[in-house]
Amino acid sequence: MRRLIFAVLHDRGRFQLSRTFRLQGIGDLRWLLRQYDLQQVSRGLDELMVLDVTRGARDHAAFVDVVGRIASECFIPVTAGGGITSMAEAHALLRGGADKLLLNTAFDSDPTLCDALAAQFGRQCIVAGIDVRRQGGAHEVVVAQGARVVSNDLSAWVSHVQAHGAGELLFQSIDHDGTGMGLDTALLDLLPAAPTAPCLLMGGVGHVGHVLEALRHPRVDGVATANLLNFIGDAFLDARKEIAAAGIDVAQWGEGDAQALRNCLGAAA
Amino acid sequence: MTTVQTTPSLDLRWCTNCVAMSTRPRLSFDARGWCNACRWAEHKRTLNWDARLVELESLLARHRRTDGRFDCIVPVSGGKDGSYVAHSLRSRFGMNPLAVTVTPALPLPLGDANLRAFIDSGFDHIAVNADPNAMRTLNRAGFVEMGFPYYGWLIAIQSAVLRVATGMGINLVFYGEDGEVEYGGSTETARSAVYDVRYMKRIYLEGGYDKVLEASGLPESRLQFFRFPPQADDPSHGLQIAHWSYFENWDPYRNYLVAREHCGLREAGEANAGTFTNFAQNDQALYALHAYLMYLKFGFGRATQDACIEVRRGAMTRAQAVNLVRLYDGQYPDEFVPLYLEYYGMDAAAFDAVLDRWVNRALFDKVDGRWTPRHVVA
Amino acid sequence: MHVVVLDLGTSNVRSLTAALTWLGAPHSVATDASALESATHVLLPGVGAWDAAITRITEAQLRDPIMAHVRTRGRPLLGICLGMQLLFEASDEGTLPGLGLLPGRFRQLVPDIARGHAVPHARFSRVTGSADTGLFAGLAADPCFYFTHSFALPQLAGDGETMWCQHSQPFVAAFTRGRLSGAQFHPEKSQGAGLRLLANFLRRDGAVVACAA
Repeated sequence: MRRLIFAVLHDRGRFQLSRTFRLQGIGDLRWLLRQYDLQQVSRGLDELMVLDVTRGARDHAAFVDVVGRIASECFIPVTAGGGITSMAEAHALLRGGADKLLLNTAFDSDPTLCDALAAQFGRQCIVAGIDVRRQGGAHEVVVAQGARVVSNDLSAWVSHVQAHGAGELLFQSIDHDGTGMGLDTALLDLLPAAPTAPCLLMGGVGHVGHVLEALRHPRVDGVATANLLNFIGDAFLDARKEIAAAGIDVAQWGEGDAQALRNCLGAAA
Repeated sequence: MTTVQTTPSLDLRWCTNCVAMSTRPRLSFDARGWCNACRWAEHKRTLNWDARLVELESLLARHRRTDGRFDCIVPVSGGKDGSYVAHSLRSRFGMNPLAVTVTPALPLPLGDANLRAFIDSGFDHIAVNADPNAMRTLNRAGFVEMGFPYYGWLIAIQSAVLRVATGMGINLVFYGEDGEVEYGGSTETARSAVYDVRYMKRIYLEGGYDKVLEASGLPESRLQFFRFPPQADDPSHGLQIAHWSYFENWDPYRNYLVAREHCGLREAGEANAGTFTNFAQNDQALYALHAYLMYLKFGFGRATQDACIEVRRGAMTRAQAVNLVRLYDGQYPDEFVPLYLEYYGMDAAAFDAVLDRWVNRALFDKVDGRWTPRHVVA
Repeated sequence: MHVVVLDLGTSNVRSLTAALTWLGAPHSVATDASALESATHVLLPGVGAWDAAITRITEAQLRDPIMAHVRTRGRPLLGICLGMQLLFEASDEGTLPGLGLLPGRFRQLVPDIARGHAVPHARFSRVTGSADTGLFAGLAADPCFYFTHSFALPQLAGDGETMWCQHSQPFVAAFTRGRLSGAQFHPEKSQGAGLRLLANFLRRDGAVVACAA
């Protein structure tokens, strides 16, 4: 079954829209929860991601708090990360409500940390964020929010992150990010062999048509979108119906299940 | 077609493809309910752009100089559109453009920074500063008499640019997009590469040029940059004014990406007032008032404009556009009002009285001192 | 009712306690055995490495109290993900023996990319083989649950309900054997379906509840 993931980008209390990795502040947590009734909207999603994209000094405690508040709104897996530099930070996120961790720069600056996290929490807990930028005719893998090139060989980098504990791979196209022009499925075709780990694709979704196009690609296990403006309201629920109607195998859940069960054991004290 | 009945005389419709509103002057709908801007966007996909390119090259050939002198003028603000056109003329077509800015009345720091970055990316540039007092008088007259808060500047970005052109012996001027054709309006210039001062006065200045200059009471000595050069009306002089959008498929988002890549354009950290984008119209504080007046006059604002662009370029569905318009459109420019009052030398009551004069009362009711729409985009 | 969630320190118990709170089930989180005596139900969640979890169980001396809860007091226990695995004898993931309450060994999942089976198995997947009773009462046919694991149980003998999931090979997705239940998936991360499964587990053994469902 394929996956649809909603990612929210957090920068010191404000959620961001990203266009080729340039950020625009949109609204705070109150705004987010007002535009997205996560209890409802989560029925259209396989997972949530909460990513810290702060460019300057990070406030990790505030981020952990935000992750927890978002996770408490729904009963689906939550991946959190961006800027994880220590075991303590990882621990805090997992205790605070995250189910999986996203590591990106750490695979370059501190692969031992990645090893340790995978050893303690299991590979299935580690998602490797891989940001890719086109340069001339070639592709560069970059870290630190696009500031530093770490490889010109995507395949080699994939092997590297997998050797250091990555359970899932999240490929993000910087060039497509925020353009609303669709995902860069060609990125996955760059790999000589399909990875055995789940592959997620992110960057460029403007509407469900882009999601459909990518989910039809044999190497794409899931699509993530951080498009904060184009899916407000119930759009993810509609998107899921459309994806299923298009014949793509996605999990579906009935309406009202969670609501109906609220406090149903309360009488049995 | 989606219709809302408000008063017997008002029949509001929205384009079934984008969210353009029927109140927009010169907007029309086809049998599908598509507005003329969407039809144009559709048409552009199959239009023979190669032929347009040939026309462009032939136009450029007539003006291109080999002695190093400037051969064309591009009005720029430092924003994405002028930067894109100037960059294209130089890097793709080997022209030697002179960039000209007419300094707006209340420039914003980001606008100044973007203009500086554009110039620093390697352009010859003239900044025309019309006498700010004269500019202010004309802006105020435009605000009051026409509901156009920067009317003086709107005149000058045409008249002063043409004055520079004729003054420096440059006979080719490229503005960016033809707003009527691209965003829904008259299509008379859709098949015409060049236009003239008469069109500028009729369409861009909404026929108010003479009235506003008269109302300003300014002497000729203060109006030099607001007067069109007579050579512009003389065909034998050879001055040609063109829209870049005639020759190449106009794509504001592409312009933004190129300007960012090559001309140092930076975005605002947050959305601009009244919309969800942050990469357009960052040069002057009066633009927010201009957009707000558009909202009061016609019932749609900046967010609607931006959402229509997104829908037409395939980055957003109509349903999503509706959501964003409901969320962002028609925002009162709170943060700028003290600046406006000081600029115009008005108190709040006088300022509101001008807004009241221009609001379309068939569309809005005043609730708690603010004009509130009766309609909701459908 | 009093549900005890055993926290082995390897997982995020917050989601599970949030689910219990949502359902209205009185509960507490325990890191040692002292709370087990009064527990009507025990939940054993777990994420991560087999050996680390077994070591934790040993250090906290949880093995015997868990046995007592199930065998002596005859009360229900639900193992979740790694917690389900720990109930068995062994896993290819580690070297230490499991609790051995049930026979079986967990095997590493084998990828089959051509058919869309990646490893780890990390996504919602369909679970089949359930009747509309027991753990799966009230659920639609072939409900989808969230899995995230690299090791799985290929078969399970004995009487009781057994539910299956198809990866490159079929494996046991959930089961009930007497007082013991297990879910390889995460019910607390599986939308309303998971909440219903938890409620079904907790409602067994008599507690008659009023429920909008």
